[in-house]
Amino acid sequence: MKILIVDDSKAMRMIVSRTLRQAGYGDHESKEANDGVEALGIAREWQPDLIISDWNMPNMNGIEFLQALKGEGFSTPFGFVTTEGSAQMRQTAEEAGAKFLITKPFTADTFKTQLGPILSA
Amino acid sequence: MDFSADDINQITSDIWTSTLGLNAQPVDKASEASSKERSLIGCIQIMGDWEGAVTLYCSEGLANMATASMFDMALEEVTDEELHDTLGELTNMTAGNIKTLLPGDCRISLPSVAEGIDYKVSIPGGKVTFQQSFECEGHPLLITILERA
Repeated sequence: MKILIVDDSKAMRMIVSRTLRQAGYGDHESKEANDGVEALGIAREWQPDLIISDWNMPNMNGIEFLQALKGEGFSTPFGFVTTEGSAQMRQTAEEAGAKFLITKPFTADTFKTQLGPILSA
Repeated sequence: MDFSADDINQITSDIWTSTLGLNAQPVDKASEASSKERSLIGCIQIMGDWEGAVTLYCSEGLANMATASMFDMALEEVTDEELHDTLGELTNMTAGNIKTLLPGDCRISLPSVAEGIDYKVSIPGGKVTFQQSFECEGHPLLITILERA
């Protein structure tokens, strides 16, 4: 499977990649993007099977990125990994079509629980 | 708004332990960074029904350790860009979790990071409403919450 990791922090992209490995998903192919604009370009060309995105990013934030994907007809499973997990944000994410919202900090167990059903499908 | 020390200590401990594998312990007053030592401060603004800022201050030594852990690299390999990225993300996580304690609808800014020796950072209109010192691997770490009047 192809996983696209989107976060404006290189450090956090590293942590997400490492946590994917710790959760047992290290064999999947992955690419990284710095914001929604870059990620949208990669999604069009690379057609990922799963997108894991930060919410709060410059240029195009995570929810705008998800809305842009839906607007272009993508049905790629999409989830947020973000510092903010308020009930309102969870509702906004769900209504926009996100499959999960993982709050930072997170553990490999959280990744297994949230990503397992998608990556083993 | 009053913040609970227990809440902030738990948030800080969770972030530093699970993300970095480092132990940040709350202390009455952390050892001051030397005025000749380089230090860094990360800042996130919070806007909305509650307005203010969260800052995270630490010595260069601790920022280096955090960065090396975050990027899984040796201390001597850490670059300034990675140092700033790491402190920005740690501040982002801290502020994002503190935001969940706030009433109403709020949003957070992208992080900014400053560094230097013997400097002051001011948030105009901001009044310190909570401050907690931590010690991590023998280095000082300070979390401050400022509320705009």
